[in-house]
Amino acid sequence: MNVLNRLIGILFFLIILILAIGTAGTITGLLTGHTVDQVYSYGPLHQSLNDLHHVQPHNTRIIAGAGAVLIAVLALLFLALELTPPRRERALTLSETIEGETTIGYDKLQKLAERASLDVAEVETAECSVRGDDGSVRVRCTATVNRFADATTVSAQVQAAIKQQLEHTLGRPVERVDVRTEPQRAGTRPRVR
Amino acid sequence: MGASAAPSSTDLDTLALAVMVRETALAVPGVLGISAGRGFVEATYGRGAMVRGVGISSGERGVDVTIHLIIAQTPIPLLAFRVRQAIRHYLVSRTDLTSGSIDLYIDDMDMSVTPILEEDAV
Repeated sequence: MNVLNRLIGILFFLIILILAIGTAGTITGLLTGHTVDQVYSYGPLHQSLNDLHHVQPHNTRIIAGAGAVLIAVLALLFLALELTPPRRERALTLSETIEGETTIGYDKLQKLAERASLDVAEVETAECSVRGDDGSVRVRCTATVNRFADATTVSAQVQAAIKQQLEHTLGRPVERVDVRTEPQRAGTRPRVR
Repeated sequence: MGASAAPSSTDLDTLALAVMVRETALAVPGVLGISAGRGFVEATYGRGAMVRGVGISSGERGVDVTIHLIIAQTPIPLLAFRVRQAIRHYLVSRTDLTSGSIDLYIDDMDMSVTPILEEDAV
């Protein structure tokens, strides 16, 4: 959504919020026609506010008041959503020098690690997470392997593959790679490579 | 627009500069595209037009550039060096502007594309 759309959205919800609060205030008697006249004196508006305040039967007033409050809450919610800045993706800064900085999102590294895992024979599925604290890169991966494969060997191979791939791509050492292997469930179709 | 169509430094506006920076980056092997940014839109705005994915600002040392890249699966430090070198070379050789910092954001990596050879570098 571009800036203009956001501004229009904010203005729209702000107007709805003000109208809803005004309606609720008029129905409950907190906002009277006399008070509004002090700010802006306009006959038809004064009449409308009086009509709204004395709307009959009583149940209609309660329903209108509750509706106004509900709309106000919704408008406030949407306004808050519009005003909340978009979340920046978590990213790893590879270098930060006078030349400039180079940054890559962790989700890309996660994809890369999963791809490296899947390149290992006997690995059926892989789910990885990559974290970086104080410049170091740490990977945690869960791989589903063929039931008949040696889990220890495959685990070591996955560990090596991830480490090599990430170090090759990032040009920096990967501090730690934790791999957990799970045997593939019986009856599950093997992955077609 | 190709790199040969670079305007002279005297009539160079920010938008034209952003276009040329984008084209220069795209010409680097391993760069597959320019992203508009993730979570927020990075762009250079001009009269009735905008260049997505490239930010131009003037810094202490010269023109500061921010660019969002979509790359092939390739060593990033090497690619970053090449992109910076290409942009810096463009700024110095085709304009009289000095280059400040060049921030690179790797917004996406296409792993289906064959990695470029490291031996091609530098």
